[in-house]
Amino acid sequence: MGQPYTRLYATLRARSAGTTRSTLALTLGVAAALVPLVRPVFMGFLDQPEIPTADGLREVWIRASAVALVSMGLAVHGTVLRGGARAVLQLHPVDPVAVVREEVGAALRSQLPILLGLCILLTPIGLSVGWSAWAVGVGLVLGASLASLTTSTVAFLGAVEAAESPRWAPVLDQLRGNNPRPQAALMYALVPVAIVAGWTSMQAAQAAAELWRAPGGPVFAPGALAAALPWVVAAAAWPMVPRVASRNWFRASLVLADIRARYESVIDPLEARRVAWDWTLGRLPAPVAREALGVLRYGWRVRRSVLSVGWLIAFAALAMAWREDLTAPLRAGLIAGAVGWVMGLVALQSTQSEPAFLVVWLDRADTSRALGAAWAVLCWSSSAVLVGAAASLLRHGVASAASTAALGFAGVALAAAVTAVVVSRRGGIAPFVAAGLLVTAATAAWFLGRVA
Amino acid sequence: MSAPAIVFEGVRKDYGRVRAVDRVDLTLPRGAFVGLIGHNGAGKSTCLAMLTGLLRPSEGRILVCGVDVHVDPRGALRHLGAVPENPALFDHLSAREFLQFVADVRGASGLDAALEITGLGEDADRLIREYSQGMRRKTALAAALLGEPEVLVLDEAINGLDPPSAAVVKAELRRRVDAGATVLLSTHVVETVEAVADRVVMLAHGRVVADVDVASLPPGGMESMFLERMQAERDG
Repeated sequence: MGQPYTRLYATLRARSAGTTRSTLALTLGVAAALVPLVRPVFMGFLDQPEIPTADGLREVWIRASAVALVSMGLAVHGTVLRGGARAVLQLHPVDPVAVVREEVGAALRSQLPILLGLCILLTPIGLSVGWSAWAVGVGLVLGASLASLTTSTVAFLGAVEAAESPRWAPVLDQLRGNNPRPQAALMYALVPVAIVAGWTSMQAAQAAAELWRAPGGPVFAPGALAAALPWVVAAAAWPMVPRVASRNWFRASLVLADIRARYESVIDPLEARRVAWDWTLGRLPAPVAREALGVLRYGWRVRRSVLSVGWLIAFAALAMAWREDLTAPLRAGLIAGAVGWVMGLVALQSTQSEPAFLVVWLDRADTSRALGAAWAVLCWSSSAVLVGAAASLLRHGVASAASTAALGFAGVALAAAVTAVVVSRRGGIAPFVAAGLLVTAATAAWFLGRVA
Repeated sequence: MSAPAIVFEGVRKDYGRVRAVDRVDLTLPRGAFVGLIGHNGAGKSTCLAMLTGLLRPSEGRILVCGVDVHVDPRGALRHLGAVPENPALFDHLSAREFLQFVADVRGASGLDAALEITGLGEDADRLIREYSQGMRRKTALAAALLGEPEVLVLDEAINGLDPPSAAVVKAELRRRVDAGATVLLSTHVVETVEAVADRVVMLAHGRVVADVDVASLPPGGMESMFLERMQAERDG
C-alpha cells in the first residue's frame, strides 16, 4: 500500500521543486552572510584564549542543537498534524501509517535548508579549531533534529489522544488559560520533546566537547559515546510512530475541528473581524492595505501558533538585552531579526495557499500583493525588535538600543523583502528588494565596525 | 440482513453554548435517494461533517453500513464517498493524478468513467490550482464516485455544476441508487431535491422537523411544506 502515497508525495515535491530550490539558496546565502556576525557574537571563545575551547564548543553546539530541535518540532506540527494534505486525505480511506511516514519525510526535507544553514554557521569552528570539531558539531545538530523529528511526531499524535482523555483533563485545565482544552494538549506537546530530545542533546554536546578538554584535542574518551544519545533517542522513538499514527491520525482531524469550533463559538463575531495591527493600514494605498489586511487576518487565523512562537522568541530578545554582557544588545538584535524570518514564513504561507485563479479573476496587482505581505511581516515582527530595543535602552543606553533596533529591523527588512519577492513571482518590485538587501548589508558593515 | 446505509442515533452537537444539532435520530436504508434540506444554519453541514468523520458528536453515534464513523473512521470511509461544500484538493496535482491516487487508495477502477460523468475529460491533465470553483467541485465529485461506494454524501454538490453536467451527474446518481447505493444530498434548493430525491428530510434549528416521501407530496408541494414547517418552528 505504500506506493500510491510515495508517488503522491513525490509528485507534490517535484511540483514545488522550484520554490524549494529558491528557499535553499536564499537560506544558504543568508547563513553565509551571517557567518562574520555569528563568530564575534556567539563564538567569542575562538578569539579569547582564556575561555577553554571545550566550554566554548559545548555552548555553541547546545545553541545550534536547540535551534534545530525547535525548528523541527514546529515543522512536524505544521506538517504531520496541521499539514495541508490532511484536509484532502481525511475524506478517503487512506492508510494513516503510510501518510504519516510520508509527512515525516516531508518535515525532514523542509528542514534541510535550516540544517545546511547551521552547518555553514558552524564553519568558523572548522577554520579555527579543526574540521573534526565542525563534523562533530554537524553530527550533534543532525542528531538533535532527528530526535526532535521522531519524538515530536509521537508527541503531537499522542497529544491528540491526551486532548480527549479524562485522565489528562485536570492537568490540561490548569495549563490552558483561555484556550480550549484540546488546544492546550497540542500546545504543550513540545514540552516532553524538549525534555527528552533537549536533555539528550545537551548531554551529547557536553560529552562531545570533553574531547577538546585537553590541549591540542581531540582526545578520545569512552564517555564521548554519549554524543550519540540523540541518534539513539531518534531511533528508539521511530518504532512508536506507526502505533500512534494508526490510532490517532484520523482522530486528529476531529480534535482540530473541535478546537476550531470552540474558538469560533467563544469569539464574539465583531471581535473575530478585528485584526491585530489593522490600525497601521489607514495610511497605506487602498490596494496594498486590502492585501495586507488579508495576510494579517488569514495569517492570524491559520498560523496563530507560529506567530505566538515568534512573539515568544521576542521575549528571548528581551531577556538577552537585559544581560550585562556588552554584546547583549547585538545578540538581542539578531534574535529580533530571526523573528522577522518566522513572521515572513507565515506571510508567505498565507499568500501561497491562495488558488491562482483567484488572483487572476480578481485582477489583483502583483506589486500590491507583495507589498501587502511585506507590510504584514513588518507589523508582526516589529514588536520583537521594539521589545529588545526597549530593554537595551534601559540597560545599556541609547547607542546600544540603536544597534539592537538596527540589527533587528535589518533582519526584518530582509525577511519582508524576500517574502515580497516570492509572493510577486515577478521582478516588478526589485527596488524594494534592493532596499532590503542594502539596509541589511549596511547594518552588517556598521555592526562589524562596532565589534572591531 | 445487511445494516442500514446510514444511522444517526440520538446525535447532538454543541458548539459551546450553541446547539447546532439536537438529538437527531435517522435511519436511511440502502438504495435510497434522500434530500436533506433546511435554511442556512439549520445544521445540515454539521450533520454531514459528523457523518463523514470530520466532527465528533457531543452525544450519540453515527453508523455507516454498520460501522461507527468515530470508532473506525477508515472502515467507515471505505463505504463512503463524500463531497463537502468546499472541497479541499491538492492544487499542484492534475485532476487525473489526484483521481488516480484516490482510485489506488480505494482499490478502484473507472477513473475515465468518473472523468466523463463529471465532464472533466478535456481538463483532466491541467493542474487543479488553475480550476474554477465549479471544476474543483467536479473533481471532488469524481473522487467520491470512484470505487462505487455504498453511500454517497453530497453537500451542495450539484448546484454549482453547469446544467449539462448536472443532468449527467443526476442520472448517474439515480443509476447508483437503483443499483443499491444510498445518496444523501444536502442543499437549500428545494427544487433540486424535488427533482431527484425519493425522500426528503428537513432540518430546522438542528432538529428533524419533517421526514417524508417525495411521492406523497403534490407537485410543487415541497416548497410550501418547507415554508409551513419553518413558520411552525418560528412560532415555537
